Amino acid sequence: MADRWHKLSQAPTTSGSGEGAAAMTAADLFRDTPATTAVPLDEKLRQTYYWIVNRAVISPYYDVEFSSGAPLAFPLGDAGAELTLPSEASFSSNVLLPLLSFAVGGKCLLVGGPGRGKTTVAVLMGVLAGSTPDDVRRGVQQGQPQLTISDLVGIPLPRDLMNAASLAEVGVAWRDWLSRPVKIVDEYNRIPTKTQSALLTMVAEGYVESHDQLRRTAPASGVESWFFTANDDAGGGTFPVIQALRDRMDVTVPAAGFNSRFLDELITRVEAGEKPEEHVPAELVFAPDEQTAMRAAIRAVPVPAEVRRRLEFFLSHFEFVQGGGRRFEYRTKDTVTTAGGKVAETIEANSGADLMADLGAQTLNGLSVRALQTLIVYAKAVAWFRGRDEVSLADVAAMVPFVLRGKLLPNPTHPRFDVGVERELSTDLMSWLSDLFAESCRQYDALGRGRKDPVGELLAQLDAGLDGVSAVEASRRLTAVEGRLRAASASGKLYGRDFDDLTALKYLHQRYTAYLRWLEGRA
Amino acid sequence: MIRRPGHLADTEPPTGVPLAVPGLDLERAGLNVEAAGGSAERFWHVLAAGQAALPSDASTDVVVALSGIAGWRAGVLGLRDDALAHLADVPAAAAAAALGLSETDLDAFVERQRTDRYWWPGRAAARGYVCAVGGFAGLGGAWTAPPVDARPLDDDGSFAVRTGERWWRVDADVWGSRLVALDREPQTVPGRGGGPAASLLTFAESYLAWIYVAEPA
Repeated sequence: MADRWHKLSQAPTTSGSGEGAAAMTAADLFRDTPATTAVPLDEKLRQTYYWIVNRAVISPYYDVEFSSGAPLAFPLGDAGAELTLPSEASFSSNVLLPLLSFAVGGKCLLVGGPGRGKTTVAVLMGVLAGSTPDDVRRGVQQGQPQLTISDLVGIPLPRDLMNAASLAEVGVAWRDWLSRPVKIVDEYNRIPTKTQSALLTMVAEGYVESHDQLRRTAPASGVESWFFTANDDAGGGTFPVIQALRDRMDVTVPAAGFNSRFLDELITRVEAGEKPEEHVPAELVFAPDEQTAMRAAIRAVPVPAEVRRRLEFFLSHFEFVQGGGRRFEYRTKDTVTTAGGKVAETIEANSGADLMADLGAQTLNGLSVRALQTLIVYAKAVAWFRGRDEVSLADVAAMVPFVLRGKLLPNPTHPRFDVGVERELSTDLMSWLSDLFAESCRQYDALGRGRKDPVGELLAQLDAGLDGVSAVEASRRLTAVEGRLRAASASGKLYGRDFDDLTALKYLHQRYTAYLRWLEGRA
Repeated sequence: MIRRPGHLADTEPPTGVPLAVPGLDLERAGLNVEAAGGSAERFWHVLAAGQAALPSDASTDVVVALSGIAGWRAGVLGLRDDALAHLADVPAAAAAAALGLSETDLDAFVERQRTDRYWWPGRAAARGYVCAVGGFAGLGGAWTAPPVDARPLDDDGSFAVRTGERWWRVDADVWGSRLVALDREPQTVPGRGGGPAASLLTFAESYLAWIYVAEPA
């Protein structure tokens, strides 16, 4: 009667009531419906995570670390290697990130060599959404060089093609996988470019179109998650992945290798001929309404002001490049890129700034609004998963490398990647992104941005509204804006971290001068 | 060695398989035991032990009563009152076998349980230790931070404990325990709850909390 797969973490079965165990009788044991109440969704997601890492996927890696205080660290070898022991519960990224993607309805790219369990993890997510293992496997789209749009979305009915007088009369036999809650595309970098474009419409817009017919891809719950796999994300594969599709990947997760110390468990599975997706406990399957509620609960986790401010500061580094244009607003990496220029050369030509202090000099591009939105959603998701009431800086820091990999591109000519002990960062992008965020936080503290934020105060004044603000007060604020600009001008240095503040000051100046003009006109 | 949550009384590995009884779905009963916070494997194991001591012509009602006792023994706290009330409906040998006691200890066990929900004949040998609850989530436990601030609640056999920022309610008796995450810190009345001289002990270096009774008896 025992099932070795059916072991869940000994987690609570109810939350919040504070009541003792409900009285039962012996006869209750033989009733069809067990007398239990629902497990809180965050607890259920944690149970699911621990079931996967303890039972389903052999993954003894804890690379998403959380510590209160400095973790215990052991230097190893003579090449700067260091093993850290975090003081709080830490997680395996190649299980946690797919699970969070499932929870928020995200798009997850799993990268790594063949046979590292990428597809197994994705298939498990499909089973968690309520599909049978067979259905999930049948729905996996195998990327291959001959994959056509029809292979992907379905075909027009031949009968209608013969009889229809217009395209509107052509019925399309849509593929079943299109409306599944979890969609899996294996080896997406082997799909031809034209088919990738059709895939992009599905991923980006949530619908698919064929012969003037349209089909929404969202399931009943409204929460759909996508899992893509690829052997690398650096341009390899049969076809290059179109940039717009690559940008749609919310998180990129490297698959971990197999730890040889867990060979016994592997042999047990080989001997039993078992697949983990066929043994997912029914208690861990998320019903459509649970998926909807889970996403809503995650979105509701607040991001406190202190975390927002540090996030603002981190984002501010990357858009600006001195010498990228003439007009101040056009001195951006986007100006250089869209004109066909080389951002790396533009950065190198800037002799006025300290390249090591200017974090923006380490990247070839700035951050998109989409990437920022994704970072916020995933930081909320991991905070919720950890049972926190609000997002902490540690939650953001943990998600930065997975969200920004492939979106924030390293500048290979920057001295950091060129010399000395940090050369390994040119291949270990996850560590580089983590370090970039940590360095931004160090600068934030060193510059005292958390203690005093004059531009933030000026923006808050404006946000409070202009009703009743006198001409004298508006003029005083204008003077304050000009004072801030004058101080920045006097420093003689300009870094990316100041760019957004300076353009915000110009915005304030415009708003107050327009208001003053209006006041004068009314008088 | 990694310490895991569990009850000291659960010494035998649960390997027994109960005999089928016409009209009773023992598989379903095991799953319901699991759903109510107990162990299905232990339920089947102790039920099999009890069945072995039943006369061959035992009625279905007796097996149902024995199942209630086995469910309590397997960790379902909600079955405690029902099991104690129906012990007399089952032959003493079968009830004792299901509870893992010798038949001569059964009367003393029932008597002591009226006032001490943590008592069993083996407790004295363990110097008052009853069970460990919680455990590190990464190793199949429930908690992601070590427990602190343990205190008794008003109800008999219940405690509050905090792990990180989250408060939990711990309910336990001699055979089972249950954890419930709380929305906020619970109100407690000093000097009440927990049971006779029972404490929930926490340790700086452990994710487990121990239930301990100060009067080994």
